[in-house]
Amino acid sequence: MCVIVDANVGHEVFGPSQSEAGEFLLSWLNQGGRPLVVGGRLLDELGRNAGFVRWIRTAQRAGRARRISDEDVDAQTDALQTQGICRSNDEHVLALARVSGARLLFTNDNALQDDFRDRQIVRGTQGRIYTTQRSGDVSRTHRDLLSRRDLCDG
Amino acid sequence: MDSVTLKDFRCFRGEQTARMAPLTLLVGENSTGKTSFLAILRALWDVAVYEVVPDFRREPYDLGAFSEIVYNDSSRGEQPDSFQAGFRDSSLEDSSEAVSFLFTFEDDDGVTFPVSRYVSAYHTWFEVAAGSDRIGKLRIGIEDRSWKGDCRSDRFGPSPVRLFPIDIAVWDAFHTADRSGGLSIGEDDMERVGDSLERLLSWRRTRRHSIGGDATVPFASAPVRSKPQRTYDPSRLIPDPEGEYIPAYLSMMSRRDPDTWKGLRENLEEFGSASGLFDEITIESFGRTDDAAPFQIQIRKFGRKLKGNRRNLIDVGYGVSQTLPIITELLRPNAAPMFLLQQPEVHLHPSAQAALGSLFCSIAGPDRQLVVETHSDYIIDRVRMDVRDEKTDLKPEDVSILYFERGESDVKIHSIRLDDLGNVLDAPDSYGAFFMEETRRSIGI
Repeated sequence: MCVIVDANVGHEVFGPSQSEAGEFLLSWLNQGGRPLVVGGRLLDELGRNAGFVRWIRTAQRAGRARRISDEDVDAQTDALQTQGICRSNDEHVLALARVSGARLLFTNDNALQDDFRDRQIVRGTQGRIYTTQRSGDVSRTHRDLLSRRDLCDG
Repeated sequence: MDSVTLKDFRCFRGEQTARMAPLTLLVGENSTGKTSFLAILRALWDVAVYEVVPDFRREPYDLGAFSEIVYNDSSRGEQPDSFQAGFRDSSLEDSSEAVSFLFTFEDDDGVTFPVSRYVSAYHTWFEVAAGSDRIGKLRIGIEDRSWKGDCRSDRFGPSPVRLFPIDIAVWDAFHTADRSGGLSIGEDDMERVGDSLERLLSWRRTRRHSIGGDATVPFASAPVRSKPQRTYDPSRLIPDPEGEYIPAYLSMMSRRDPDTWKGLRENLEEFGSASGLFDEITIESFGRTDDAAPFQIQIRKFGRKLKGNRRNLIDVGYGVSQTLPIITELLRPNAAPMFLLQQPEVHLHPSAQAALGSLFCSIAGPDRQLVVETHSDYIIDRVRMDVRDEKTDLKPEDVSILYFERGESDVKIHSIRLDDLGNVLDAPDSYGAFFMEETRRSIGI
């Protein structure tokens, strides 16, 4: 259970306005790189993207995407909100990482990136960020990230 | 069966083990050995339970002669002299005390013959191997000790197709201990051997002998079922893979055992409604009321307000007549202990395919194992959802998806699991690759 795509970049992966790096990530997912994890509020947010909805059905059948228990994610979200340690307001994304063990996040949100790298929030293996903030083109960083073997904790 | 092991059988090169569960779904491209897998399950049942030489040409699985059954790679000039197949079963006892079988098959004058039978029952293992000159070789082992003896050879058993029973082989060898080739085993060890044999026999008896009239042989369906007829003449009730006997069975049941027919009919109609195929099924008998009278099968589909007309089976969609044999066998009293189904979804609308998935979930269990070869994502999706939503007694571990992946010159079987959220676990990269690409193209990304 390894990769999370934030809702604010869902269109870059699943359309309608794909970036080259988003398409690269999608190909990697399709070819069995590591599964995308979804659950909790993030699933509702991504579910507004028609391309994602069509993709996830096939991907879950093929083991390319995994559903994580909403209850578990919501409980972790509540815990993070109670602790008040996050800079971003995306506790539900961080909670998903905690529950699933995913340590790669595609997001362009600076505050969320900081939180995801913060070991106080996402414990264990260091969280890694896949981003298109500087450019939507595929970079060496993107390639390196997807070739890592430590994208899952536990 | 908890697991099945194959070695050099058909397209399966080397040794492979597949995880079996109460509901096992076989998936993969055409010609990847799924039907061969069903065939070996029936053959294993024949050898292990009934101790007979399996007929590899019996319908619905005609695998041909030995040279077509053993793995063959002509490009490498590779064809072994034997193949092996076996299974492990812990369904009756604690899993630490499972029964395991492994059979080695060779060509014996044109017959694909189990020349060696290895059975591990509780703390003892037995091996009977066909010898020469009417003498078979028996080996028995407990922990790190083993004994050898002679027994009457399988080749000269009581009849051409019957194998020499392992328990009799053991007693035979034990009681001739004083002569050459006899089994030199102490009384204490023999007592332990006897205990294991008794448990093995108990395992076998439970499967051979019907409890409450249950069938004791696997039901194997053909991928295409018999064509419907407007009017049926009663025929003999001889089960066949195409289900040609099913109309006569239903007719007989409706005449001779109205109470049982009522229950079966309710079950059929429940599935019919869930699948959208029909809401009512009746048997219309003509002329006499005895078993010799011709009859028709009539189907009715209810509208929102009106019940609609009864229509002959031949006048409704092909899906009904093609499904009827399978659902009848699944829902009838005294159903088979194991179902080997080939593409039960043929001719069915996706909603009916999904309903079939739910039916499989409701029937599969410790006493009734379903092995279903399918190309239907709707069946698999429904199974995943029913397990996730706890609409069935089946737990995630009660479902196994066996994915048959074609290699260069062989096929590899992958055992795929579900988790309690319906996720597909342990799928190799090629699993679903075609569908991922089709979806990508379909979305236009």
